[in-house]
Amino acid sequence: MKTIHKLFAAFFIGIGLTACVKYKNDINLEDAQAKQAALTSKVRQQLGDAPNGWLLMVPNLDPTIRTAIPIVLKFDVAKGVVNSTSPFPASLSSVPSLFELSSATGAPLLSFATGSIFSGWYEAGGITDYYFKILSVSADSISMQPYRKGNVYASEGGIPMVMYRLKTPATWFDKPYDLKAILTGKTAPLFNNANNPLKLTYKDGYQQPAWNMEFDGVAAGDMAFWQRYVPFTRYLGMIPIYLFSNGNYTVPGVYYCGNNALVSHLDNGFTPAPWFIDQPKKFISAIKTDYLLVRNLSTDSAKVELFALDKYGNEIISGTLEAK
Amino acid sequence: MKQVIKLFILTGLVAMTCLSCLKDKSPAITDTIDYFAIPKPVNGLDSLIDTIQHTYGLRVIYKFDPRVIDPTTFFVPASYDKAKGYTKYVVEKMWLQPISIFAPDFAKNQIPIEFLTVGTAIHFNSISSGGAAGAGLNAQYYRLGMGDVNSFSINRAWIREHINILYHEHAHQLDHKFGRPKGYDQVSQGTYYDLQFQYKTDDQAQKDGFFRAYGGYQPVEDFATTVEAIMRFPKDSVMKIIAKNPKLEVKYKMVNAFYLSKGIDLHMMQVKLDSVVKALVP
Repeated sequence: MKTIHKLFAAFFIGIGLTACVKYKNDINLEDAQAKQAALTSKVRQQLGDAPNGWLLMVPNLDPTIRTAIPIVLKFDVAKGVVNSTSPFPASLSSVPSLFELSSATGAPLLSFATGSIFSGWYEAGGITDYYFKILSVSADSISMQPYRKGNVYASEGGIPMVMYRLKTPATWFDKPYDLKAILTGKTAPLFNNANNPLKLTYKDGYQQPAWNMEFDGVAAGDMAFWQRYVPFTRYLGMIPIYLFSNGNYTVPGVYYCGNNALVSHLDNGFTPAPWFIDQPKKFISAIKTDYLLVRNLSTDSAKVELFALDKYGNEIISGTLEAK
Repeated sequence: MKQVIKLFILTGLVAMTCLSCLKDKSPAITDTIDYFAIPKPVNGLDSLIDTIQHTYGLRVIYKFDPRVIDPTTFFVPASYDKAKGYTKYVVEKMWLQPISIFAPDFAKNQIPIEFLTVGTAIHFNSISSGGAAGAGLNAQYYRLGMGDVNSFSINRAWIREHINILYHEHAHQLDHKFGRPKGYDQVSQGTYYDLQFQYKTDDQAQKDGFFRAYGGYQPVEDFATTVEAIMRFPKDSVMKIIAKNPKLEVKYKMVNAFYLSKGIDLHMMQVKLDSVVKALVP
């Protein structure tokens, strides 16, 4: 019986000593802060470690579009500045765009923190946020996702997209062509000719129907409206022109000249809807892309070589627009 | 006796065991960790912001990160160059400096501690919600945000008009904080336009007892547009407006008294701001 009492006593003493664990050891916030700082530092280092920059491929919200728009980003991690080249003339601005990295809410977040092509594109409805959750980081790619879908009634998280480390410099946007003059200049072959077939070849076997393009410029007064009110022009610098497709001279579609790029953009905020939505939608649906980059221009400006990239950054469409 | 001692020891051990299992009610945190610490200045705007914060106690935020991005409201940061000019000319020279000189009590007690420079408008349903957008962010006592900063230019008319809108947005904050003056909402009760304000002219609205059509939307905007009108027009012009409808005089007196009780004479500030903007943009 005495042994049982001693065992009881030893048992309770043991419990009494070990049960006295306080929260102080359970939750160490300083460790969490250090972990977040280390995570942010690693991502920052990775972003900066790309001499040729990163190629961000931004898919369209329309899943039938087979291409993604390329944005080349170079991060200066010492200054917190990001430079971009893209189809959008706003990229050429000398005003610095600043970025912020944060892990304070858990996952690393990349914010294009001051005005940038992302904030402009966001206003134009082409991308659903200007700050991103970083989903994964490898030596040659960074996956990220817009934080929001751009609508208060939609769930969190936009379409995931990938940045690829460029092994060689991307030169697509280095020598800008004056596409407005090439397509709508009074002496331009592509303006004066009625027969300008767009011929595209698709690596995935899609057959593009014949598409004839005729162009006209936007009057100065209308251009002032675009520059003041239409986000795609106001914030991204895209120059509107009119596209008449396949001999339809009644209803033009709004088409945009960018930095070495011809871009279709649907804009729900403006009327007439056939100009801003229906005609661009028909064109996009036929050619399965919302943009074409200019690879080359003939010396007489009568033939434009074009191409577009898929979401992996591979060329998927190539072809020509030629005044016959 | 031995039994008593054993029982005593055993009872003590059991009690110790039970009591030692009780944990602290809250985690033991010895210090507050700032996950969003203010970084060292890296450019001219950062330095200007530090100076303004040191002088007036308000920090301008031009770089948007998770701390200020609201998941359910849609707005974008201003471009760096616009934010810099706006911070200098509008926030410091036109707002904080005159208030600190001519209304020190108001400056001390009623100015928020954070200010967001928003590039365009504040959208509430989606980024492309068009006209359904606000000029500012005013729902928090400690933080005010002003939109349209990307339109900033060193232009006298733009700066002077924008400061009227800033006073309008700040009026919403004071409204949240103190409530509108007692009886204010009853002055035009039953005559508010609701969304029909879009089809009214300012002249018609004044005859109906609102300083401008938007004030007829609802009492919240009625209060803010009254402040805006006092900041926009010279006192004699305000007197001519209130002569159009006795309700305007009642509301004007309530608002004027409300602001005087907070340490600022809006008429005096209107005159001062006209002078300041002329000196800033000759």
